Amino acid sequence: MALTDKLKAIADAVRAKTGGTELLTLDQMAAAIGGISGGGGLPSAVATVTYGDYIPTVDTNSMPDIEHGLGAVPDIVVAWCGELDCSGYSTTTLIGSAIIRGITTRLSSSANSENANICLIKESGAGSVRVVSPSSQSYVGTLTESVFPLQKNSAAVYIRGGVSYHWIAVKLREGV
Amino acid sequence: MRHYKMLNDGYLVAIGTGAGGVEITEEEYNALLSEIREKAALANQMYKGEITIDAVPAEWQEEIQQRVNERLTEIDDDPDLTAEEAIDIILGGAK
Repeated sequence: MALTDKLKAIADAVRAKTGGTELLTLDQMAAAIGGISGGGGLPSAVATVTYGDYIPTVDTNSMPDIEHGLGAVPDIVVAWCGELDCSGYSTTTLIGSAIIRGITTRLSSSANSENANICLIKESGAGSVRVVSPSSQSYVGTLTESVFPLQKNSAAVYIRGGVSYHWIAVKLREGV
Repeated sequence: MRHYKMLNDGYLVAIGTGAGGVEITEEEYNALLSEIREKAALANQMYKGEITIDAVPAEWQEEIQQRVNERLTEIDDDPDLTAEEAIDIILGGAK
């Protein structure tokens, strides 16, 4: 294989990973390879991803806003709690929360949400784990360029002190 | 990785990693995390009747007792049910 063919093969491999279609100089190839995430991660040409933990100090039924650091309104946000023993709680506990932007959903007879809002809760007492939607606009919160809400479906849902709520926020590139 | 703490009126309300809050060192984060989890575990044990207040370090007793008291008074129903939500329920809609 000629040197030019080998370089073309490398450029093709880079484009396959990044989703790009443009011609690449050697310098651009180096930069593009450096931007490819390992371990099956999303290539930066597809999405920008931020992640973190939020650990409240005490039990609360307030709905905290968490900074995501994307600098743009996320398209997808998922939050979920790490290790958690619900046997010590007699009231409902928030286990997870997800927001998918741009899917208008009906919350009540006169209120819509611009996003699909999903909560995963462990019901009070011996209740089950359920997937629910916020029961009104009060519990949807606001998804902005700086924060997302750790949303829940009613006032009677608690986040737990000392529990790590892991989160990931994704901003997809145009056209993805 | 960036570590932060969040304060409200001088009280620590949360810690975390990622954006937000007041940046702290990993050492401070780990120390706060350890204390937060230890207090949460004590509150859980006391709430479940596995320990008494005597098993809690003296300097934390007031705080842990308050947490247990608050958990005992947690609401189990939605007190903010609006007329609109009530109609939805009656008509078999959302909730």
